[in-house]
Amino acid sequence: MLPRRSDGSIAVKDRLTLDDADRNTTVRVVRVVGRPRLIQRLAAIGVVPGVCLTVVKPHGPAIVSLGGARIAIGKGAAQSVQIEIAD
Amino acid sequence: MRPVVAVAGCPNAGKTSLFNQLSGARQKVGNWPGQTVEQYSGEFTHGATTFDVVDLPGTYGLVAVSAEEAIAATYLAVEKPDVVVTVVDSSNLTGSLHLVAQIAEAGHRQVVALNMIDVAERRGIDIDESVLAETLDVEVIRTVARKGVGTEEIKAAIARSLGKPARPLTIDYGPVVERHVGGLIEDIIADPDVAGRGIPRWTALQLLAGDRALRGYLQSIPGGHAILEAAAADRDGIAAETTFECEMELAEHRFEWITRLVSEMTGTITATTTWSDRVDRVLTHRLFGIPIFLVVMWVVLRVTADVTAPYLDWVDTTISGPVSRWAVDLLGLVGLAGGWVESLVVDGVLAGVGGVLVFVPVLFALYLMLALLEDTGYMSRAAAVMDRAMRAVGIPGKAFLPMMVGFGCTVPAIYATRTLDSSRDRLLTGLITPFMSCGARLPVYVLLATIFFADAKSMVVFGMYVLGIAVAVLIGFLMSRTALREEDPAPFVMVMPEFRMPNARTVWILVWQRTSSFIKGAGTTILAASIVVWLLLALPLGGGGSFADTEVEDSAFGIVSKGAAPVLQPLGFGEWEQSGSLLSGFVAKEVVVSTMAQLYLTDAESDTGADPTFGEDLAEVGSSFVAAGRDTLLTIPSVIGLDFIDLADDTDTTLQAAVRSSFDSSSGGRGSLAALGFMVFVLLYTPCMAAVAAFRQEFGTKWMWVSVIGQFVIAWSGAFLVFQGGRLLGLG
Repeated sequence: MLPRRSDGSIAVKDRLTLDDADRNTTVRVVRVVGRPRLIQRLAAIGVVPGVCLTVVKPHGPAIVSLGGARIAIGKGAAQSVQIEIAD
Repeated sequence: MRPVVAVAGCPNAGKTSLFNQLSGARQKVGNWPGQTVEQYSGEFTHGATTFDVVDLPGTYGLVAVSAEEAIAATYLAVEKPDVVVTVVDSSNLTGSLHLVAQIAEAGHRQVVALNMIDVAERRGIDIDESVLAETLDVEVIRTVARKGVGTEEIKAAIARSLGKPARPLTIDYGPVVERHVGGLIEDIIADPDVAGRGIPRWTALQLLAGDRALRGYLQSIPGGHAILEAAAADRDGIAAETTFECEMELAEHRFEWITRLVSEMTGTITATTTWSDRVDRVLTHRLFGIPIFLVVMWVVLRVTADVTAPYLDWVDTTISGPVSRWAVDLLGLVGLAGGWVESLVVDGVLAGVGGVLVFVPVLFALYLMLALLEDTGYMSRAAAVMDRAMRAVGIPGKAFLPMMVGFGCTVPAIYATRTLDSSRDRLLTGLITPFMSCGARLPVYVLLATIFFADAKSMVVFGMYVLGIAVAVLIGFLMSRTALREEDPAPFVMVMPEFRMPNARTVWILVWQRTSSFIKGAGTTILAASIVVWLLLALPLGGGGSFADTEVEDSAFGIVSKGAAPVLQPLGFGEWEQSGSLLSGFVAKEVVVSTMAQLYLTDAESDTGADPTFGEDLAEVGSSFVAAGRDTLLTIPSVIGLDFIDLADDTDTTLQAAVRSSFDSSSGGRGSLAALGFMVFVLLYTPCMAAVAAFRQEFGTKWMWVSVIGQFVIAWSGAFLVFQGGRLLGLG
């Protein structure tokens, strides 16, 4: 199922972020944009281009599964993680 | 010289548990922020060798972003420990191996502890550790540090690795990065100061990753600026050529290497939804999350305030009854009964000790509840839930943890702000944390609520806690919009620990350490305060009487309190006994109630009957303790709303009667309103000396005065609003 933005429109694929992803979808990180502090924090935890994340719970905050670990990601940080849907 | 072992690891990987197992030291284990910012060290002996062990702060990597990472990275680079034991969360290899890879790249001799291997096995993750051992040429040991499994094997591996040369790991970062790394290495080798910092390739990689600790070091040495400029140019070059930020580009290659390694170690891990995920969906739900959190807090506070009440009474009556009598008898034996020495011992020392011990049941219960919340993993969920709400009012989500600690004591809460990412976040959190009602303020609410609001005791006490949070949020909001505006807020990203059954030993260590540190800290400060107050009471400045035999009103304390009283007149508690007890609260909030007791009861004659014998006293102490235990058990159902016994049958003791009449007269017959204002004042006013000292150490003298004066003004205004506002509305 394609993720939808909050207004109901289907999000454009290359602009998808983690904040758009639905529960139980598996997504691949395309790139991370934002301030140095955010980038370094996400890099240290393993949210880097190429890795796959499974969305346990979207929003408020999002919880994703990354290689067995559960990571809570706030809205702002989730919006700066660009993703694509993994097959 | 003894070999030095450093223990490194991610937060929640069980690093502190393993450190405790190695050193045998009794450190706390849990998710509190700031616990390892202080450096803990110990020692252990294996064979004929004694090793020093150092516990590094929990970090996800060695690139210094936060204060903890800077400490760990700098320690490894400068102190160069002989062996690094890296504690890995086996159920989260991908996340944990980042640190292992960096420590190997930095060229340290390493032993890897595959910790929480039981959790990994439960999740069906089958790990072949030989892959990791061969790739890095290190020993890899399976451990369950919480239960002590694998500790001896770790010690043996440390001893074996001492003789081995370290083999630095080299990860291929791709042609673009490698070209820039090559150029930087030449610059680094050319400068002996920089070259001595570590192996040049690792120094170059740290520079490219934007390590703050290394940047700080280079800024302090003559040749450093040139290298920093070269590194900045290389960072820009890499970003331009790869279209990724430099640190992301490095991390991407490192994680590519890690992902490949993990898949060789475990095969493909398929993410399955666990029961823990289902629980998380509820606990961190956008609608239910905060109500659940409030219910949890309500239970914590009910347990703290109501369940412990019988023990509180027991401590109180034991100290003021039998123990005081025994002390007088002992003094009589050495011929010191009746004079100022007896007064000092009973009214100064024992009153002070009683003022400390009376809290022990309350704090013990509070710390027990907090330790359970931590050790089960709920505390992290609470932080995740609170982040959104707090961010909305300009307070970083991570501030939640110091604020929770603030419910126990402001002093550790202020130190706990160190885990926040920026100095701005730390200061903001430090400024609002004192409004969280610490354990020492609770007895004031309990005493006044029992006297004036007996029917709604829990509600009033709970209300004080909520008001404290509200004021903290309001001040945080105002500060974040004015003096502490910021452009780049810290992101909320956090690895959540696995839910688990609390471990009795872990919880006990946490509770015992916090409670005993309160007793030790209080034992000096509060005892000193109690003696100072006694001394002020003993000095006859106002005319009549002699030393230790003067009317309180004529004593030095009375004079000072009377000078301060008019300031509090508009708040409805302008009697000098009231200002005096608040004055003593500057020394420690714990003594507000004990000072009240001293001021109101110094003249009250104890009801004399035949003095009980020592044996009768002892029997009474024992049987009343048993009765307190029975009462406590009977109270437990009331926590969840089932009242089997009536708690409101408190008899009006001498102190309660004295306090009631004092508030009634100081407020012109509106005692309840004045008492409420008094509670609000105690909640909000300037914290104790120890907290002020902690604040000054963390944020400097200027901000200390902002905090001290600001809080006094806020407290005065709050109490004024309650009392005068209530009067206008015709309440009280």
